[in-house]
Amino acid sequence: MSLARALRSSLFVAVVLAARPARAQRAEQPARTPTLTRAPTLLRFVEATHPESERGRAATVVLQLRVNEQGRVDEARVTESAGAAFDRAALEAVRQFVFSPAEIDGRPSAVRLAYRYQFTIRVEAPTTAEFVGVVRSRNARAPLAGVTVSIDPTESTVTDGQGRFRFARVAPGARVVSLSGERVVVQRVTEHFEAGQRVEATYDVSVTPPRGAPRSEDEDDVELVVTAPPVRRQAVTTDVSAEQARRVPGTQGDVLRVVESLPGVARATAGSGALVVWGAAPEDTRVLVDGVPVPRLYHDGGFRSVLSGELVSNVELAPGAYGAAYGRALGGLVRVETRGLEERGTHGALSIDAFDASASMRASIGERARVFAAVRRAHLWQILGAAGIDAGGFVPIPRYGDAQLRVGWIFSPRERVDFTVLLSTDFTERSVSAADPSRDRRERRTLDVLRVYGRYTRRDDGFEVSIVPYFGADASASRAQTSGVATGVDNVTLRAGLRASMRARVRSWLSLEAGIDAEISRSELSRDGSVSLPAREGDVRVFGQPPPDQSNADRWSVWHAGLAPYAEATVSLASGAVELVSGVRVDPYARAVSRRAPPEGISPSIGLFAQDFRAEPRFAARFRPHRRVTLRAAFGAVGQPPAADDLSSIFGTPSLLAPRGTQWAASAAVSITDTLSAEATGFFTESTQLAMRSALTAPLRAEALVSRGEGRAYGLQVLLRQALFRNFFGWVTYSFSRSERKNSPESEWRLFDFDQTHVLGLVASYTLPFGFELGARARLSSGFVRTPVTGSYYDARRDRYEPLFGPQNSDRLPLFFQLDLRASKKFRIGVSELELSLDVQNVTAQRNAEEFVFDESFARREVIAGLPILPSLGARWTF
Amino acid sequence: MRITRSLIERALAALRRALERWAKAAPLWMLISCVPTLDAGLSTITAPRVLAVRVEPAEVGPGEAVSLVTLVASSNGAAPVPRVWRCDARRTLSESASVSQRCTGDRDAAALAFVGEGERVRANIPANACELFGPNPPEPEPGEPAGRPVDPDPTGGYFVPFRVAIEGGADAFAEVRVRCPLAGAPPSEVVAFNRADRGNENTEIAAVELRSGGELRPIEGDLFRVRTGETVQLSLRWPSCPAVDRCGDGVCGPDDERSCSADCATVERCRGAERYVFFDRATRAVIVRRESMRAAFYQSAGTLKYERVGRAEADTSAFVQNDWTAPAQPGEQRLWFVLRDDRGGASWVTLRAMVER
Repeated sequence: MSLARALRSSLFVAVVLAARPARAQRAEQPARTPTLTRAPTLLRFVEATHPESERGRAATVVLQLRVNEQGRVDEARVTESAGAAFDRAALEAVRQFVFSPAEIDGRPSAVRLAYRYQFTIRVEAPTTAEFVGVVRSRNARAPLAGVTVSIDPTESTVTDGQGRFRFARVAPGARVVSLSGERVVVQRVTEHFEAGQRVEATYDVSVTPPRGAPRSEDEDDVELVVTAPPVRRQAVTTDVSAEQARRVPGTQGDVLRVVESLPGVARATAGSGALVVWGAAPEDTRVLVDGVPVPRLYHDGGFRSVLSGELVSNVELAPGAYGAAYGRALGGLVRVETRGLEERGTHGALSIDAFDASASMRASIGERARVFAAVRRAHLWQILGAAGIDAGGFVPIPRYGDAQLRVGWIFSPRERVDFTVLLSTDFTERSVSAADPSRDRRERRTLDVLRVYGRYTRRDDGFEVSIVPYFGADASASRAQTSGVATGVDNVTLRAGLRASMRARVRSWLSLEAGIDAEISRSELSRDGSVSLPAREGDVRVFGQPPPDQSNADRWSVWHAGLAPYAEATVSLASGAVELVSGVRVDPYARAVSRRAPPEGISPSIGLFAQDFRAEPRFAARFRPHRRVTLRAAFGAVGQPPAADDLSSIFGTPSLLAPRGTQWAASAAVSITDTLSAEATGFFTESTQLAMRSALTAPLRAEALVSRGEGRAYGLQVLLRQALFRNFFGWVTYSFSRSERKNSPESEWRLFDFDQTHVLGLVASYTLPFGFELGARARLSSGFVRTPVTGSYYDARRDRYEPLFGPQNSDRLPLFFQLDLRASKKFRIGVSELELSLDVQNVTAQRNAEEFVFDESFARREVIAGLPILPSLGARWTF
Repeated sequence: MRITRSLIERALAALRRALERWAKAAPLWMLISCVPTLDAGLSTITAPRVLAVRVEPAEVGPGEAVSLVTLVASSNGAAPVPRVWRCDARRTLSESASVSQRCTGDRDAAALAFVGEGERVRANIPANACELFGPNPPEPEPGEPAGRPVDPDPTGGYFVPFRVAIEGGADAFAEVRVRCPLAGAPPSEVVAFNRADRGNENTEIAAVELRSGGELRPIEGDLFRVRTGETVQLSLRWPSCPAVDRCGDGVCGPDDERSCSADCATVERCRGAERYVFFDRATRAVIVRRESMRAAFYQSAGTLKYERVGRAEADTSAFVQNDWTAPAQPGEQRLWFVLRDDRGGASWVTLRAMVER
């Protein structure tokens, strides 16, 4: 029950105190008593405001009013006080009263009268809600004044100096709340109001710099904290805004390289850029850019991601147990969200460091059109060439480039469409010559990736639609010659797909999402060389070992088609304290392989058609027993089609089954303060039908691989994260995991090739005055798993030694430790900003072992050390 | 601080200089740190070691007999006697080594068949060699279809492995090239292949030349003289095989059967870098290739410029050169030169060097 203000139950007491005429009487006329021939009548009543300080109290104020000939109150005074606050409120109200003029002796005259104003308490059923909140900048968490907050949009208010706003009466129901302002990108959210409730909200919004000013840290993240229907994060996820990611040391300012420092991610071999998430193979983790799959996150060498950081809004890593919207991956999920290009004006960025140079530009054309373009090109190999240094023999110097183009059209703040082109190219070559040509080593790899996609989004009240059709082409070629053995793999894949989703909040406690994830691809492959080369997981090999020289060749093509509808329901119970997410993804898929058996004479090839159907249930639960504590649990069944590379009738098996798996996770998160949080997550994954090499000495034809492998991984990851607070942000993460494989159900569990039991990471960044910034990143992790070499024998025909092995994966490289530092300084140059940064990797010059290396007879063992200390000076100019 | 154009230019110039310095220095660090120097010194013989095994004849059919001649080197000249086993186990696809692990390390009696001992041993090639190690489908398991044949080596060859053990030295494996039918090829290519296939021939070191200061140094028998610390240039020569088959050249090449059968009547073949027919599985056509050659150099003491020198397939030169620097101490030293072709043929020469002050 609420208190009502005193309303119009005032009591009018029409007591004529004095019927004196307002005008002076003539002295010569005989005196007579004037007569009130018509009493004044109150025509306009004005309600007094119940004093805030007197809430809950009733009172009566008696006043004397003088009503003039026009019926206006030109004098008022309190004759019986109820307290200063009540008196003042009553006086203010009665002065606005309008009466019908009183008549004395038939003529309009001024009169005095007494008026009793009563302040009463009235209890009413609430019909509206109160809505209060604060608007802050996204990254700085600073309150924003002058932001217009509108509801539906007839009601609006402006935030005060502390960023606060308030609506006293908001009609119940779902209402669209808009935030706009000179430097605030227009954002809309839907809030649900219930009568009598007070809704409190905090909106963290992006802020664009004034026209012509350099970009600020806020502009990179355009995501509201609250969206409607709520964007449901995956059950176990870590996301980082683009701006924070850029400041992480060791990444050379590359936004997407922050993924390496997130919990659940094992350290990759230096220069590989491979992502090992929760003990899954690198190729089992899917990378999606706006929902569009891309083959890799990093260029060759792992120095740089394939996407300009200027286009990235944020990056999210879901190591497993994600929602029904995602699939075709046994491992984790890396979701890269790109910027929406809401800003107006023309902005750009130029960056250069030792590895590459890049430029980007984004501009608004009129009110609705937006365009973005970026290009990057590696130049390290040219610098080395100019310096006369031939480093390409042992250390492949990657040559890469990428470009992005986006054209967008904003139909309305709720509806937009954009078209994007992503290009990426990699070329790596190394060559070591020897006096004996059979000892020459040559390697050449290329990968070209093209993605063209459109994205249509519409957000309405409690409803959101997203449609992303895409087309892509991947062309990879790898050729190598080692110890006289040539190998080559070429793959050209054309793919097209459609990802469409619809989310709706059908009730205040129920949200539904449905969508479709369709993909079709055609791969043309050719391969020659040894079946055993390149090595795959489970092979017993050591670095430097001569390759097997039994050779073959094959050409084949593969069609893959998958059409996966999915649906997910999110139920909120107990005022949002409990949230249950239940979904299912149905993933039927078909494939056609051009050849089911190796070519024989002139017999025509007979193809193979296979289909698979699987329903993948997904479930997640969230419970908030306290406003600072969140418990989560999630489960998901996952699967992925076999790789086209494995479907050769000579090098693989066309009839391979699709690997399947399940992922379990449970976590507890505590918000220690508003910006400091801790989270612990336990996980368990298992997978079956993994493609492994046949263990038979004479495997069946077209069965070089068998779908008999099994895998499991389990562990615990802990994250202590400080969001930006007083110019500082950072996190500490520790992951314990154990990942194991079996080559077949009958064999023993062994350590997975990529197992990394302990990974400890620290990231910290602090902004100093005068544009200085300091950052540090430290990593401590277990060494990679290796198989020990116990001896060797001499191969007299090939004139080389071959190693003898101990138990598979029973040895490890030494512990890895690396400390990276980053310092930067920003200069204002007119309307632009120049940032100079020095990123130093491995400042302690720790001699980290990246690999064991042996002498030619495998009698002596040394380690290949990683880069000892690698400074990289960079410059980034933005306007 | 006021930012002026000159300040910006100075800053950019400093940045450019720093980048240049880094560019010159960083890759050096990368190289130094990434590539440890692990010289095994395998060219210097310090303990008994198998250096090569020559199979006579160099290529045989299943069920035929061969001789395995082993070159064992030791620093003191007293070479241990080699013992030889035949390995009858096929390696699995997951094994990256050249022979099955059942035949390496601790011996698996079921996988190894003892052949004999001695510098020269006679061995029989199993009749099912092309099923075990070749392109013919292996014996199927009961109720199963025939299994996968073995893929050929880069020259199209199939090999039966033999294990060679010596006292006090590491085990070695020799391989005998087996003549097996061409499998999986179109009939026309099979015909072309069978008509032109000559089989492999062992190499032959036609001449060894020593030069010092541009002058030819004489070799008396297997002995030559050299001063302490002196560097001599070694040249190994082998027969030069014709690049094109010509009728009447006395060499039976791939095309002679069709155009000049007289050359193949004596089955005299070139012992250098032979031309041979090869079924290219990528193009599924028979092509003619040339062997690549490589020579390995060993010493009891001294310094060799290269441990191995070779000629690629496209290089028609019929010699290789190397430098040997005599040790600082006088005395008799030994040198071994092994010449191999990439199809498995081998030959060698052993010299003695009298190092004098």
